[in-house]
Amino acid sequence: MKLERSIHAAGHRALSTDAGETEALRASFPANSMRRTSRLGLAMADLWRGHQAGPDDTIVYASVYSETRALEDFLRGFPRPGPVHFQTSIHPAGIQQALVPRQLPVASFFPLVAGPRAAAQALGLALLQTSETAWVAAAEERGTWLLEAGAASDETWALLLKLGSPETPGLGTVSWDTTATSNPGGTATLADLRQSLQNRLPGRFPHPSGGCVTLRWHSAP
Amino acid sequence: MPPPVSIRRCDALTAFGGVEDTWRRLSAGETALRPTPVLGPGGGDLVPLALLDPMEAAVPPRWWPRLSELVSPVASPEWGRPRTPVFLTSSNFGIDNLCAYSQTPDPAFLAWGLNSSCAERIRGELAWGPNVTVLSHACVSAHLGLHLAAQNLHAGLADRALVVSFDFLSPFVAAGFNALKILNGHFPAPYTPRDPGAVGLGDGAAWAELDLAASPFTLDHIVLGNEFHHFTANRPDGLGFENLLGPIASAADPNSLWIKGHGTGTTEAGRLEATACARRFPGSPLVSWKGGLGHTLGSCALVELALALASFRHGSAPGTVGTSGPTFTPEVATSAVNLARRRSALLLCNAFGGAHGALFLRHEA
Repeated sequence: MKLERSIHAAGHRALSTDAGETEALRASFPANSMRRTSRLGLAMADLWRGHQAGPDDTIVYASVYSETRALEDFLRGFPRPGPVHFQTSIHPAGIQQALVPRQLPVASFFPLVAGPRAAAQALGLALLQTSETAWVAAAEERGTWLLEAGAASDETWALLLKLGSPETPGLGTVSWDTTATSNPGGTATLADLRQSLQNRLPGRFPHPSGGCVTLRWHSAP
Repeated sequence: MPPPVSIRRCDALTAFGGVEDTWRRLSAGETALRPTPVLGPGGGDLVPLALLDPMEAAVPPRWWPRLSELVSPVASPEWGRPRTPVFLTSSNFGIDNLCAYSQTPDPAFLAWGLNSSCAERIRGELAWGPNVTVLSHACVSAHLGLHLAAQNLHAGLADRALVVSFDFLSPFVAAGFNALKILNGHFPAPYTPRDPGAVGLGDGAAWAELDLAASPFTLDHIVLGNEFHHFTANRPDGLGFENLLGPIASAADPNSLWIKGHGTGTTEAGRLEATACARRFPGSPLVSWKGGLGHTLGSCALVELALALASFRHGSAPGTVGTSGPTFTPEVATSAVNLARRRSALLLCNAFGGAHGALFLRHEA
């Protein structure tokens, strides 16, 4: 079986540790709409500018650590932690913070906890969907005390891919040949996907269900 | 229309114990919820929790012996292979250990403390291969696992699929719901117009093996929806519930249907759910079991599916536990529902962010 979609949009956003950059980004959204949004949520919201998920769309979201700062702040709030950090600490909150202010309902939303095969699993899951458009998003947030413990990302970044019909040419293609020879135990991390997107490098990610998910680009970044 | 997905095997664990004990005690109207300090050994306000063991930090986590025993029938290297995918789901994974690490920085806690490290640890301990998809979407987590398992079977990518889900309580989770004020000093009374609303939380875990061969129990529809309206509230017009139930309405005969709702005990979501169910399926009895089990969070869809199967086997579904007063609709059943003439069930779950899930379960006697 071979599944294929065109990449109709692709974006990547990193946020440095400069607080001024974060606040400038926050201020670029409508007044107060991102007042309590985490840095991860801001990076994701920035990527969604100009895009609109439709009610029949699918969103696949993948993150290893997800809302690290909300987790850290919630835990540091004990014995009386706050409600905002709790609701923001849940795994899919990064992308929810970007979409809730825009009131964009979707049919299917799959938040993956990313592991060694996350790139193949996230793209493969998007290819399996019957919706006309499937979005693949991924993100991490730089931690503080969890980073010191080796339990958080050392960067804040987000990426977004819009996948549509292969009949409509786009920036590239994502395909999954489920019978292609590969090593199903091989790794295909979010870092691999990020590198492919940022540098428009071809990607070949072994899928643990069999075969390979392949990313090809038609254009330079 | 894809073919129905068969439930080959299914088991669950709640604060009452195994499936049969849980069904029996729910049927007797009992609750496993007990007033418990919100921070466990750390004290705090008394809130309704249904626990298998005290919320004490440990390595391995206090819940690991319970979970590993429950899933021992599927702890095998035959799972997680290319044709036998596993879908591992939880809302909170080993967050109790991250909580413990934040207070006592012992690195041993971290091995179980992050969602990703906890999932990899479980995969290794249960001898599964690499084909494990890990999902975390709050209280619809297990539902997503069932959805993707069915999708893999329908796509011809799997011969059989395994879904495992668990959520065991911790001070992290209890304090979080307490901060939101929906876990408070009151016990839940689902589908009652009461202010303030209240939830109880409970330990829960379950697993199911699915395939496409014939079986007495099938999932004919697995529906998803996401409002993205508010972090902790649904659209006030109930459109999220309406959109969820619409695709199932044409397949379901209200006279042979019963509904196991999400019914946590929060007032507004309970009203929206009960009203939408009564409008789409007039006369179909609606029950919630979270007043007895507590809300088992990410595992609730699978835990309550196992109890729905037991209900069909016994010919009787436990009524809504914890509710005795007026209800939002006459369909809310506060006593056991006789299933002699009922052959299908609608099983609902919701989550933060306005996520919805619905399973249409059919029983061929």
